[in-house]
Amino acid sequence: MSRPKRNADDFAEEIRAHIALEAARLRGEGLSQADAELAARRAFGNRTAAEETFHESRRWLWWDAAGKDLAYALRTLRRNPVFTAAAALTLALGIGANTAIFSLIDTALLRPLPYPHAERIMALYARNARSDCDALSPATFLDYRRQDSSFEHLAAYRETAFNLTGQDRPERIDGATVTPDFFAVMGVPAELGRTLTVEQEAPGGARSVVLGYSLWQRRFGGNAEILGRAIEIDGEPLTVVGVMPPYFRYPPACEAWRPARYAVPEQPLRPEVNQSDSRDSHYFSTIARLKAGTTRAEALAQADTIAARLRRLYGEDEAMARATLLTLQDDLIGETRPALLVLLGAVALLLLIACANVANILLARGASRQKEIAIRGALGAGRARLVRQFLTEGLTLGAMGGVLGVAVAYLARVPLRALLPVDAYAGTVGQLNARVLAFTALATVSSAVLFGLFPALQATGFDLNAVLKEAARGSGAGVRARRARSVLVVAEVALAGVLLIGAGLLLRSFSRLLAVPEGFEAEHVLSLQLTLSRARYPDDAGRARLVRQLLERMDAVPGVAAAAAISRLPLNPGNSTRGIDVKGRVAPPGGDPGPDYLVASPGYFRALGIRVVKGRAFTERDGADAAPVVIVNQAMARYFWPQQDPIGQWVTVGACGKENEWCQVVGVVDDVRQHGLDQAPRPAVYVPYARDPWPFMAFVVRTRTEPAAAAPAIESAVYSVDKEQPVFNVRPMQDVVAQSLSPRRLRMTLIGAFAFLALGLAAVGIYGVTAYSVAQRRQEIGIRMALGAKRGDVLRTVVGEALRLAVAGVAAGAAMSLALTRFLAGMLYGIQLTDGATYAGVGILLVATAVVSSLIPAWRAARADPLASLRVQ
Amino acid sequence: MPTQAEKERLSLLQGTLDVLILRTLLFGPQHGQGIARSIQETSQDELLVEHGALYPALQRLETKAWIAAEWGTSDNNRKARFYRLTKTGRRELIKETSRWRRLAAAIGHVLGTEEA
Repeated sequence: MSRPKRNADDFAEEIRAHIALEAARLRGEGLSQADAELAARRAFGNRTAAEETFHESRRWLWWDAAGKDLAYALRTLRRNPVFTAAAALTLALGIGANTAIFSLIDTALLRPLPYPHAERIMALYARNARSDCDALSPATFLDYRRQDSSFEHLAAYRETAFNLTGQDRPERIDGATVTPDFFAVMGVPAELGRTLTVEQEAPGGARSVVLGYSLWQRRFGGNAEILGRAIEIDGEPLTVVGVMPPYFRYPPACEAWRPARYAVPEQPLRPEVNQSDSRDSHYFSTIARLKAGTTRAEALAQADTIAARLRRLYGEDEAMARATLLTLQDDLIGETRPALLVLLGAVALLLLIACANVANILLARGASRQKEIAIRGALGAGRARLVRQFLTEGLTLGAMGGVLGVAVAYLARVPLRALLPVDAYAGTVGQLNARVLAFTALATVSSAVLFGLFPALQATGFDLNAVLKEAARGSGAGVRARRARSVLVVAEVALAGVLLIGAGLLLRSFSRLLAVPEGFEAEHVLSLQLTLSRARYPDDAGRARLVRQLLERMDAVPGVAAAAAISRLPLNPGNSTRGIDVKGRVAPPGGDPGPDYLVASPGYFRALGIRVVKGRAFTERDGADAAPVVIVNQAMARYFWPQQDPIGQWVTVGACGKENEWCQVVGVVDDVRQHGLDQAPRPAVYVPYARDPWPFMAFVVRTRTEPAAAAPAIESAVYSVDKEQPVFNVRPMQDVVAQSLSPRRLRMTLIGAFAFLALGLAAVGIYGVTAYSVAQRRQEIGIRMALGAKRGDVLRTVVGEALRLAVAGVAAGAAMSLALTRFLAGMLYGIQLTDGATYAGVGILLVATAVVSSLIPAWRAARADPLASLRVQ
Repeated sequence: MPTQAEKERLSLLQGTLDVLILRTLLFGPQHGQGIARSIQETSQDELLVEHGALYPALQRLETKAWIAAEWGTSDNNRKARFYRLTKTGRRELIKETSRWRRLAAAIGHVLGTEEA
């Protein structure tokens, strides 16, 4: 409209004019000026009231009446405690779930890491045929440090387990070997003392260590005098130079940082060799701090340029084709991001269903409140005013739900932490901070508007004549309300269907995974890990002797059937691959994939129940000086010798001391899921432990009894050989299997729980709408029965109505699922997104739910005395 | 967006005053006080226009563009806001008038037969 809006002053002016005119007229009739004005004012009535009416129509005094609305809403809600409690709890669940998940998203995706200018901290990787995020080689790392000008600092670190000894008991702690500028990249100063600096950590000089706050508190009682003293790590005295603040947790879980001996961290297996010139060993992580003003894109472009140059210089040896540059935050959160977003989607659906349910109850009440509304309308309450009243009621309910929801989120935050790599956030995970609460408020208000507006429009939009007519007939009232409620129920069923299908797909994936052959027998096996101290066992022979001794002692423990050692337990992500040469084979362009490299003691296959398919297992005779032999898995046999007998073939598995030594294949074993149940088995080669005695070993002990019960005896067997040797991760193999599935299990459980909540809400919705419709049609049903309809007919009619709603909901839900489930693609295993069984199962479940929840009202209707229902009016 | 039902309800409650205002304006532009006075006089003081109802009604009619308003000067040289009938208003007045006549007649019939 082009007409300019009138303002309040203009209106006040008009009223003044009115009074002046009236006074003038009265004066013309002979009154005195004062009397005339007074009379005019009196005739006008309450000037302020008129002005207020104007204001109200302009909604300028909107808030003024809000208080009255609120009081009225509270009164109404108090009068219906059951309804209020049910609606508030429903909303609390929906809002609480949303708040809890959002608080995780806030921690992981929105909040910057607690480091100065954390957005400038990057993780740098090589991007090559092997991986998008491959580790840099030492020489490449040093090239980068020299040539790349977009970084202020570039540091390398390697996570290492440290044996903290020389105290009352040995302890294995998570630590990192870092280049001294590691702390410059992170930008965090020490809480106490100093961090490592390039100047003070001259290669080969006295070695120092920085402690994490938690380690300092736990082992050293938070005593500041520890500074400058030496502690023994891996049998080597290191001087404590500083303690980090409590929030500093990088790499996650790390509690001590030790400077690298060379320009790059030591290679774990050959720490005594300076690997700085190596271009084919990739074993450490790289982080960098961008210069201020440099964007990630610019830095990536430069890194790519350098990568291209290195590739030209070093050709095939230079695995680095391009670079990958991620913010540290993205690097940390990695694959958790899609899972979190899917969960947020799931809880949003849940909240929608909760809203639909509350709207449904409000609609039912709205229908019974028509008389009240009609009266208020007749008394002059405008439509806007009535809508506002409904919205106030909705907001009041929403606020109750919101407050309860925060409580729900508060309770949920601890179990939900498991969704994130918690250690990186040091206690800030799932905090209900201002942003999270703002999100809660937003969710609350939008829900309230959603479920409040629906009944408001329906209740105030009724046709007065129709209401009067219906009142005369005494039945059939609220046809319109019934239609609205049916739409809501269909929507509820559809949304619940989406959640159930998502949960069903995850569940079916999970059961597929459980059915995957692990390649070993986890029952009755205890696993434990050891890191042999380099200081105490510096050479291969010493380590081999120690492991042999340990195995003998473990074997001697009563109840132990077999004990063995392996360099890496199954179902353990991470890789230790080796390049391979096969005698008589011409490698395809791009090379053969490097097989997993595993070092196993002779009894390994027997202890873990891995089937030897062909040839033989290792024996004690496969010692350091015996003829070199290897055992391969079936995946390897299939890849390299599809047409031949792998037994007797010759291979070299390089990069580990005896690089060009030809080893003969003496056995083929079953494929073991080395990297996780959902990872297809890769080629793997096993080497006898005596030939390559690793310092990091896992032990597997097959017991005749419950494996956990044998743990103390086995641990003391270790200490009886070396009381300075910490043992860690002592757990049954079945726990290892369970743990490898735990992220999936958690996601599936959560989405499953949300889906069943949704199903419950939908059931309540169907029950409500059916019960309501039965109550409305009592007369009609009575007449039908009086005319000879059987109870079965009534039952069928009522249940049939619910069924129609359910089927419509299922159809809509299936259509939505087809569009939405692609977000789950990355989380499925072994099934299609359009898995027919899941869709069919969910459809049946929903239809069955509809039947069950409509049975009670249907049964009640069928049992009603037809005469009684006819007599009602 | 008022629904059909609401329009009807509003008209039941407020239609009377609206049609009287329109009718008054048929004789030329008038300010609020003049309209009130005029209705009171032509109804021989039977109808007392509540001023608290008059201005909202004027406001409403103006919003519907049945009447238009502008500031002017009254006969006795005072500033006042004058309302005049628009084309739409004139058309609506005809419609409303006949509706009211019919309604009044119908009520008359009903009351008459009831008494009989």
